[in-house]
Amino acid sequence: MLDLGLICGTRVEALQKSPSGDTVAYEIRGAVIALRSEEASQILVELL
Amino acid sequence: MGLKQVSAGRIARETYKIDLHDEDLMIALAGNPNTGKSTVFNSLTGLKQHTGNWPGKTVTNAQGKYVHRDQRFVLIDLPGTYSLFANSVDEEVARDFICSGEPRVTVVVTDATCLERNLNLVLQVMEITDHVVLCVNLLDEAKRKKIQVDLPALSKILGIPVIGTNARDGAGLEALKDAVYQVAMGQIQTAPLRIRYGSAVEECLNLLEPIVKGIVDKNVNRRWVALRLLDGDRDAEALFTQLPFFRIRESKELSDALALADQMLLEGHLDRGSLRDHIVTCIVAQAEEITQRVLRCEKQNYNDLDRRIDSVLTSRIWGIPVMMALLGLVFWITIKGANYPSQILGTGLFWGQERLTQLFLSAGWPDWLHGLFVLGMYRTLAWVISVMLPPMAIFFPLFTLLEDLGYLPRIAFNLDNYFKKACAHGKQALTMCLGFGCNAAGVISCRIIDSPRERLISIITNNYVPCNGRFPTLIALATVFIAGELGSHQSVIASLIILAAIVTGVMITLIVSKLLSKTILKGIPSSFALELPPYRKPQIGRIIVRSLYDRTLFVLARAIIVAAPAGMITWAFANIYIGDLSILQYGANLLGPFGRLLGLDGFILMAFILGFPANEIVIPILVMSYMSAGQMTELDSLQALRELFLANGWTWLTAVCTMLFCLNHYPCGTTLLTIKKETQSIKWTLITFAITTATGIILCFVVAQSARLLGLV
Repeated sequence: MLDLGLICGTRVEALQKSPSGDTVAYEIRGAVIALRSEEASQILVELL
Repeated sequence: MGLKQVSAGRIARETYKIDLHDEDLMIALAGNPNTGKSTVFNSLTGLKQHTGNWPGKTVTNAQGKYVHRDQRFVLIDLPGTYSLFANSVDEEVARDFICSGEPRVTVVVTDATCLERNLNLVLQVMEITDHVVLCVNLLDEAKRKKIQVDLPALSKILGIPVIGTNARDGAGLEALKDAVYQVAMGQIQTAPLRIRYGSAVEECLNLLEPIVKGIVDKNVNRRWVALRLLDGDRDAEALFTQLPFFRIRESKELSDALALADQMLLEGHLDRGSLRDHIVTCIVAQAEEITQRVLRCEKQNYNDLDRRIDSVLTSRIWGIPVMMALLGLVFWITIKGANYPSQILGTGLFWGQERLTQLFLSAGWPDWLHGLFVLGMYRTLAWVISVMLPPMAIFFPLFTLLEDLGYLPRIAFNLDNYFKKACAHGKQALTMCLGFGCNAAGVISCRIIDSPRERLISIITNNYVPCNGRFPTLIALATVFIAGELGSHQSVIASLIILAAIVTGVMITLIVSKLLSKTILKGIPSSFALELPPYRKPQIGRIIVRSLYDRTLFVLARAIIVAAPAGMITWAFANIYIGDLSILQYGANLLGPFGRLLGLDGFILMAFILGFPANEIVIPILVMSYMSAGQMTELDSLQALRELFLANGWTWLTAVCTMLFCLNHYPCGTTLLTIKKETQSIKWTLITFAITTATGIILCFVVAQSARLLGLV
């Protein structure tokens, strides 16, 4: 996660849910990264 | 020092099997996945390593050579990684190689459209070695997205040479070679930026660095070693196993200093648990700060177009239908387009066969010689070429086009939840895509999956994707048998049948993956992140050259090498009689009852057994067995094939079952050898053999028996 540049205070935008469900594509620092719910749920987010 | 100096180049030669001469300078090529690193590598060395627009292409170290200003360079393409924290095998390989101290220069390739995240790795490489050259690649993509990178400013901030390139058309590569040369020769002194980790950590580093100096045997950056000692396992012995290429002496001074450092960290509200997060945060923040200073975007939403494409290609409603339609279209173009050239090639090659026969007759050579070489070898070759070449020459460029555009990771994304439910890794879909080309390549690509359990699952199930060796079989059967039966719209129906075969293969993959996860390979899916790279403009010319040269001709050559002896052996088997029956017929009679249970016959099973070295030759062998058993027709068209099969008692059910068995049986010899090599285990190779074959037997049995019970045939 940290390798993706996901640190405290990073802006994340949820873009798209996979057609098969669960996995979501996020925009993180200009890159599009798909994460499964297990991983994504470990990230605390705040709505901007 | 009392420690043995490791001679230059030894690690490279012994551990990485790098072919290095004394006068060669070794250059390492690092970078994030999917930044065009392989393209840079190819452009510099002139090698044709396969590149594609999805992360994780470089699954093993590749090396190439080039000469610049009369100096020979050996370039090592490291696996693409996001960082050097050794969280995965790839990261470990990349880090170990860089810190072995042997590469004279490390070039870090970055994607100009995604500079911020790429800088992470650059900063980490700069911590290990001073001799770094930064290559900012994909400038044309950046230009298209109206992103401007101030390269001179970046170079000044980082303290290393920064070269802008566009490796796909070769722009900037001369400058890159110059910079590498100058850094390697010491003509440019770099002054890499050091990341500051805040007062607590800096004080610890100040304490440790002088001690490290006394006990490390190599010219590795001492600050970096101190940081690793602080961050990772404390005792030198553990660090030595982690970092195999340098030695740290046990010392009381060091352990005392580390204990003191722990105290100091605590005072700074850090402990060993939070230190790693703190370090990464500092690096990311540094990258962010630098990016803000050197990057200018004219358009705020430069990725809008990509997002809009994605909102269709991966949308909840359209994602899967569009994917099916795209694949269906690829198959349709392949089948439709291959039809005519196949006929021409077939006619030409069989005309050649007649000439050869005349030659043999007029020369008065014996019958068996004619049979062995013309009826056996030549005819099999003619079939392989006329039936395999046209579909491959169309399918591969189309598939490479999808790959180049960046569509394959979207397939993985679309299907991810199914793989998750099967307790499999999300990247398994990518390895399956490669399996389309060749299952052996697919098996090798399973290295992109780190978890051993999930890697084994991908390896075992890769064979359920039909490789190009089996495509022609599927296409031929679908076209002449099933679609032919229905009359018009042959190529459309044939495409749909192939599509159905692929979907079946994917479903079987998921089911078998799930079963494996619940039985012999128990476990839950490991965590992963899949990058969906930006769409890129495909390079049509390169696609065609690459897919024809690298894939089509390669596969065809392999098929021919196998088909020639196999054709002779089959002819011999079909024409050597023991009593009343040929060897082939004996085999077929023996296998007959079992074959019929599966909706096949003895000859079909014999063909699959003799086709073990390569799937391409199953149909040619089958044709020869049927022809030698009686009817001597000239087989110059698919229509003739249909008649030959009909005369041998085929129905639509035989065709369906043959297709199913083709899709689900043991991997070919090459793939099995690859599995053995990749898993380092005969056990898993045999398990793969057993599972795939059992799938085919069960499936064919169920289909054949149900159809018979329902009275469909």
